[in-house]
Parts: sequence; structure tokens; C-alpha cells
Amino acid sequence: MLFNSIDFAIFLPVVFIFYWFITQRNLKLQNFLLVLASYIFYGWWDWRFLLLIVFSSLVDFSIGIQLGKQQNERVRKQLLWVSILVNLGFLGFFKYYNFFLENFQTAFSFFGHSIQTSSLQIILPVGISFYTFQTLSYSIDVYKKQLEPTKDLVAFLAFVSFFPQLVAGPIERATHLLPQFYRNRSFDYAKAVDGTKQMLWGFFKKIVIADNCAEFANQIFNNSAEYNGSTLLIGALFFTFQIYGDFSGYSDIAIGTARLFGFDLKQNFAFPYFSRDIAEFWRRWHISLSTWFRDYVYIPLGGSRGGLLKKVRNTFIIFIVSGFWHGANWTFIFWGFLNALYFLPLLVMKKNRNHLNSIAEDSFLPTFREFIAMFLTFLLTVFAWIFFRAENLQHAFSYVAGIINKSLFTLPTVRPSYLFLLLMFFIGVEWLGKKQQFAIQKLFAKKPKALRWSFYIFLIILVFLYSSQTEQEFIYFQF
Amino acid sequence: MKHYLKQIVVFSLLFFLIDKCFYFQLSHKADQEFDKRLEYVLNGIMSKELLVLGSSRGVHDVSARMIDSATSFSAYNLSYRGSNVTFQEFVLSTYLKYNKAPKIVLLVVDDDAEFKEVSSLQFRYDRLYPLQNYNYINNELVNKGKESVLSRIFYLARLRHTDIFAKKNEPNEFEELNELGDNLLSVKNNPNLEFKADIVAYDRSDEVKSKLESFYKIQELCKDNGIKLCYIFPPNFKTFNNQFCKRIEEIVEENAIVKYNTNDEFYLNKENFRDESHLNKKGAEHFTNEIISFLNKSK
Repeated sequence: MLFNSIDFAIFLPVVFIFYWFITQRNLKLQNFLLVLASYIFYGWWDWRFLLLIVFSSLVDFSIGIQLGKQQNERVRKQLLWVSILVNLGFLGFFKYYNFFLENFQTAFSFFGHSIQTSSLQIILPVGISFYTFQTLSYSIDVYKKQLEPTKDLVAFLAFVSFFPQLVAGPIERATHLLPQFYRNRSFDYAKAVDGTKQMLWGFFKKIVIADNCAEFANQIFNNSAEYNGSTLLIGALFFTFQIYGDFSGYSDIAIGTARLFGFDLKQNFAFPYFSRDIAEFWRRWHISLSTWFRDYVYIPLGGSRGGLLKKVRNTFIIFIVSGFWHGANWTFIFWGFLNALYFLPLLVMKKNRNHLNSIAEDSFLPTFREFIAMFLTFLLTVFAWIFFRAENLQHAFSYVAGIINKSLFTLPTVRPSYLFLLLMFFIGVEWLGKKQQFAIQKLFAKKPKALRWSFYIFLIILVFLYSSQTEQEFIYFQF
Repeated sequence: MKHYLKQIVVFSLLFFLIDKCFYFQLSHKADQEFDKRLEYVLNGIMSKELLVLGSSRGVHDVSARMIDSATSFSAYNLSYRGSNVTFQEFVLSTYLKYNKAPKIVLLVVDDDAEFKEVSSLQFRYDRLYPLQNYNYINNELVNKGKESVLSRIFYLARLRHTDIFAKKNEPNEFEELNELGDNLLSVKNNPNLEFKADIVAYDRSDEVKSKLESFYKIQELCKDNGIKLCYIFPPNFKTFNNQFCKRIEEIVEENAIVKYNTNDEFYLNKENFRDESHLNKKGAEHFTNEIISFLNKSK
């Protein structure tokens, strides 16, 4: 079920009413309702893949219990490996099987051997990369004794399949989300209002910004050979805002929806395009994935301990794996590699933790130095997104070559002025709210209600006027 | 909880009221259009005795004005350029819903593309979007998956940002219509126009089921409303496609096919054509006279 669909517009109030009015007094029943609702939400897309979620959940639940009971370290390690192999096995099969097969074939034929293989028509289960990581984090945390294994199956199933964040995150940690299923939840007015506002801003980002940018980004990327340098640059810019609006919009709707049910999910985006260097960008972009890789891959590999070479190696591993997580294509791997390259100078010069605060923290506008740093970081990001969006590496390099020539200084042939205005409005609002969890959280908070409501109505009007006639999928569903 | 729900309800009501104000913008959308024919149909102010339905061959090759003055029937041309038979069926059913049934319908067929999937013949959604202030039209768009279900509740969902600052559309020479919906082309023909003598075999496997169904539906609508349905075959600047004509003869209920006089040398002269598929003004007048004789004879 898509958030931006009529189905969800009916589904959400129905679940909300059942949750707060019918099952409120019984925590078990309330959790059961969430499991049921989550399975309906997921099954709306393809009920067959529900079995995969249920199986994965049951495996990790059982392993968790065994890990809690077992004292023998060797057995505990084996149990952890079972969990890792089952989860990554599913992910590997559904997401990467054909990729590895094709690349093996290419590699063998390069050395003069041809091997006969047949690729499979595999449907990628929506959200598999997200819920797999979520369940894995549970097994690892229990193994590390950072979390008591749960004996409450319903709570665990609800944790794995919690519908707001099931298909595209944020990837929640068991240590943060699971205990929320054990506690009685009471309706919190302030939280619900906050959640509603965050949902509204998420819909604005998705429908107004991402979908409208997508129209032109797709047109330019799909016909890149026909456009001049400046138009290709505009195309890359539109994709930059498309992916941000799409993904952070989804996260906002997810977090907002969860808040309506009394849950707190972690912030997933913290205004990443206002970053002053790539390290800061990665602390602000897809935070739940970055921290997952940091905690479960980077630190176990040795993290920042050891010599410079080890640090560099770990950094490259983390970025390349992160790129590969996004999809079975060399473009994603290169995108990860490119970000590692960006990160490298900061790591070597020990400047990767220079900007832990937010830009223009004590002033309305950034300093000139901050502005230049932000602008350059943004350009680096735009450049990297070209590789993320391109069909293949060849397309990406030809796209880049198309930008870097004399035609960059001619007028772009695609100039949707309405979209430039919308983007200016969007950036302005994001700038005003950059110290909050989401841009409109405290916007006009101290102003009269009439002004606040007028602003919300204005946003809804924009959502209606700039929506396309059909529902558009979220990009991150494919990951 | 009570307070939250109260706020949500009040906010929704306020938004609902504001949304209703957008009706003015929505009706303004229709005002920007120069082709008012469908709007007249929806307003039930047509009530003609003879209708011409078809694609561009209906608009350019048949003159409702000539029929209107030379026969006892009040006539009107409701043909739309680039429209397929499904759209023509929609126009007829809409007409019958809001107006008194005509006595005669002249269905101008597109030989031999009538039932095929061709890009030049489409369901003309672009004619429907400007009339979304009519619930009937909006529902049609929703049913065909071209508009959100939300548009049944919110006027805003029927608007696009491009509608807000839209300027009045001006017709080009192919789109201009006279008061009875015709546009006989006086523009010069293509000097390189060549008569095509080859006959392309008509392949039934290319037929699209939904188009055939629409064709049958038109027959059914006419039968149910006591309308005489005539199938008009205007000339092309090529040899008459007998195979297609036979196909039509097979599926029409009564023999009311009006095909141009294939023995008339007039139709071999490129000076009477605008292009391969359309007559020019002189050609259209000549052909309309054939239709008029048929109508007068069959009274």
C-alpha cells in the first residue's frame, strides 16, 4: 500500500479508530492489531511475500530466545551466524542473485571460459533490505547482550513489521523500538499534532517536490544524449531534489504516522543538503542506515582504531557496501566508492568531525565561508547522484561528459519556472526549520493559529495542484 | 484525544469550505476552451435531428451546415479530430443522456483504422479535462483511471497547477469550427500528394476488442432510441478498401452504408483533397451533396 494512495487514506483512520477506541485497554490486543494492520498493509502489494516476513521474524525470535538461554559462546556464535545467513540469504537471493550470475558470466568469458547459467525472473520483495536489517540488528544486539531477548512473539512480530516503516524505513533498532511495544501507550495530543504536521510535510516533499522533479529528471536522464550541458546539469539537480523529497518525505510520513500511534521513530534525515562537508552530509542523510553500518560493520571491522590504512580500508568497505545495499548495479557501487573518495581527505586530515553542530547555528544566514562549504558539498553530492540515477556506468560517464563541455554555458532547454519557484520555497522552509526534527515542526508555532492553519491549508492546496493524476511509487521501495 | 479529533474535524471542515471556492477556478477552466460543443451537449441545449459523429474525417469531410440547409433535418457536427470510436460512443451516450434523441446519426468511419490501435485515433481525454466542473465528466475520468477518486469530493483534486494561470486557447486553422461544428479545409493541399493504387489487405487480427464493443454499443444506443444509424465512408486519395467495407457490412445490423461514389472521377483529382485522408472544402462540399441526396431519397 502506498502512503500517497486512497487505500492508505481509508486504512489509516480505520486502524487509528480500532487502535485507540477498541483495543486501547489491552496491550496485547493493541499489538496484535498492529501486526494485523501491518500484514494487511504489506499484503496489499503481494500477500505471498508476507510468508517471508513471518518466516524471517520467527527465525530471529527463536534464535533470540536460544541466545538468551545459551551460555556456550561457540553455540551462541553459531546461532548468530544462522540468523545472519538466513536473513542475508534471502536478501542475497532476491536482490543479488542475477547480478552475481551475470558478473560471474562476464568474468569467466573475459578469461576465455564461457559458462552456461540461467538467470531467474525474481520479484524483489518490497522493503526486504529494510526489514532484514531491522531483524538482524535484533539478533546481533541480543548476541552482544545489549538487549534482553523478547519472549513476547506478538510484540516481536509487530516490531519487525510495524507498517509505518516496514517498506522504506527508518531502519529501527530493537533497543529503541521493541521496548515501545511492551509499554502501555496513551494518546498524547502534542505528539499526535506533531505527527500530523510531519505527515503533511512528508506528503508535500513527496508529491510536490519529488514527483514534479521526477518528471523532468526522468525526461532528461532518459534522453541525455539529446540535451546540452546546462540541461543535463539541471537534470542532475532535479534528481538531487527528487531523491531527497522522495525518501525523506517517506520517512516523514512514516515517523508522523508512528507518532499518531504513540511511537517514536528515529530521525532519518537532518537537512543533509545544508551540510558543510561530506562527513556532515553522511551524518544527516539516511541516518538509520549510516548508523546501522557504523555499528554493525564499521566498528566490528575495527572502526577508527588502528592505523590510517585500516581506517581508510574500513571507510571504503562501509561506503561500497552501503552503495551495494541500494541495488544490484555497478552504478550504486561506484556511487558508494565516490562518496568514500570524498570522505578520504577529511579522514586523513582528521577533519571528519569538524561540523557536529548545524550550519548558521546562531544566526539567520550562514557566513560566506559556510556558504561556500555548503555549496561545494552540495555540488559534490549532485555529481555523485548522477551515478546513482544512471542506467549503467557507461550512461553515467557519458552524462558527466555531456555536462563538462562548452554547452554548459548555454541556456538550458528545459526550464520549468514553476518548479524553480517551488524549489526555492521548499529550500526556504527547510532553512527556516533546520534546527527542528522536520522543517515545519515549529514554523509559526508562536504565531496566531489562523496563520498556522493558513500555512497548512496552503501546503495542502499545493499538494492537490501539483499532484499527478496517478499515484507515484517511492524510489526507495526498489531497495 | 477528543481535542485532537475536534481540531482535525474543524480543520477538515475549513479546508472543505475553502475547496468549494475553487469551483470558480474550475468553471473558469471550461471558459478557456474555444470548442464548446461538448459543453453544449452537457447543458442539454442541442436537440438536433441529425448528428455527425467521427474523427477528423467527420469534421473536415462532412458539412452539417449544408445538410442543415438542404434537408429538413436540423444538423450538427459532433466529430472530434483524432478521436476513436470509443470516444464517439461516449459523445453519443452523453448526448442522449442530456438531450432529446436525434432522428439520424451519421457515423463517419475511419477506413481501415476504425478498430485498430493507431496513435492518431485516441480517446480525447483532453476534451474532458476542461469540463471537470461537470460531475458526469469527472466521474468518467475517474472510471477510466485518469483522475483521482478524491476528485469526487474535492474540487481542488480536479485542478492542476497549469489551470491556475491558463490563458484562453486559440484555435489553429484545423481546429476552427463554424456554428454547426464543421471545419471544411480551405488550406492548400500537399503538392506532393500521390494517388495510392495499392490495396492493403485488411487484417482482422489487428482489431481491438474494446473498439469493436464501442462500435456495437453505438448501434445498440441508436436502436434503443429509435435513431437511424448511417455509416459514412468518405473518400481517401487511394483505392477504396472493399475488404474493410465488407467487414463493416458484416457487423452492422441494417444496410445503411453511405460510401462515396467510387466511379466519380472527382475523387481522383488531388485538387479536391487536403491530404491522403481528408478532402478540402471543395471536395467536402461535393461529398456532402452525395450524403444529402441519400438523406433526401431515404426519407
